[in-house]
Amino acid sequence: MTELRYGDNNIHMSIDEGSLDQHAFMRACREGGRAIEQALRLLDRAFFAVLYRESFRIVRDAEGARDIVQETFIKVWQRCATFKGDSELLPWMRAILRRGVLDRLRRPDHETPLETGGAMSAATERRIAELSEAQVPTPVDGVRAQELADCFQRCWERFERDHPSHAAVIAWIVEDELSNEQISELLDRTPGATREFISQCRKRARVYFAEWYTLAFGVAASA
Amino acid sequence: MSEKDDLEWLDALAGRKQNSPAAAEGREFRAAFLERTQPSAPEVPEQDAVREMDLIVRAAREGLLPDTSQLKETLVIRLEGHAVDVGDLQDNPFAQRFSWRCAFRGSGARAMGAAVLACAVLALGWHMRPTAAPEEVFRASPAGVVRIQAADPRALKKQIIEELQAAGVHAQGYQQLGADGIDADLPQPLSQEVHSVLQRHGIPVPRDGVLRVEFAAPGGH
Repeated sequence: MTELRYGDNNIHMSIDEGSLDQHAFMRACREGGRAIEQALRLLDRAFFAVLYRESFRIVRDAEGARDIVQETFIKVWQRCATFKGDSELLPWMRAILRRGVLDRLRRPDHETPLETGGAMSAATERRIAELSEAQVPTPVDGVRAQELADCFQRCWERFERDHPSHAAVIAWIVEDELSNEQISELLDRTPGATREFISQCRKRARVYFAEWYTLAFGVAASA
Repeated sequence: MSEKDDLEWLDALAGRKQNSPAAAEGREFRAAFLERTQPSAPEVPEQDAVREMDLIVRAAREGLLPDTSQLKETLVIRLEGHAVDVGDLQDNPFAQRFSWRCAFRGSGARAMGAAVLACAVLALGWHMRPTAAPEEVFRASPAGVVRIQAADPRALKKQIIEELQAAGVHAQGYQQLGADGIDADLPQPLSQEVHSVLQRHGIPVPRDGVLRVEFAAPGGH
């Protein structure tokens, strides 16, 4: 962490990986003018890498990811007056970035219609129900573990390709352990619309991961 | 699949314990997801001048940054600080580059008039020269902030603060976002001592009594 202190007035600023003094941010927001230019440079240095990694993970395109991050920084300044300063900057900016990612993914060419075939079989569903109160089956050897991992990876890549916004939201739910309310805020939708979206995520996952569910829950594919 | 099932699936996906078939489905999915290999993003440098400039240009296009009209406003403020009536300059016929050849091409009277006006412009320029120390250079100051470029910005900031305080002004220094600056509320009406400090450093008297000065080294922002 770099800490700068000047003179007897002891005005200081801390620059840390992924953090920026929110009070300096809010002051720059109030001042406007050249303070914004300086703040934009500092934002880029402090946060570009972490936001770029997150963006790239979802859009898988270097140019697209960079564009989304820059767009995020612009939106940060356009909305700086809404930042209340009661939390760190990064989570607030990350939420803006994620909405930007979803907006991009929701463009018509990014989604494909839900396939109606290949859903989870009834036998698999029964098996899941049987195991719900028992211990979850774990792979007994490395070969099976690898087979499962490869299968999941294949299914995920197809799912991500065909339904990138649903895949992105599922990824964020798992990684950040989001609640329904947090998802609602992320999607900027009502709680009811969010529940519907979650239902769609689950429905799609059941279709795309049917092969994996069958393997994971030890049910023969033909059952 | 009911709404209740979906919420249990969601809770399990997010690592919150549930005990139901839907939760089992979510739990396994979560475990597999966390174990999978993720693609890594290309490495990017922490500081990239081209990337920063790209961002600044984009911000300017979005209207986030000050435009040249603020520079004009700053020059007007400076001129008024030197007791120059800006209205006299608005339609300056010598807005175009002065040419001696043009001045003498006309009749004697016109030539004499042109010469007198040329002298007036030169005298005005001389009068308007910054009275600050040679090492102090003014730059554009959008939004009422005066910017001073100095070889040793911090030393100059400290000097001006001391002089203002000696003149009875409660002046405070700050360091923020890479810039050293001074904030001060000037007494109204302005005392001669304070006026002298401002004049000595070529700082225009702020109309609203709020003094804001920022310092940078040559070539800094």
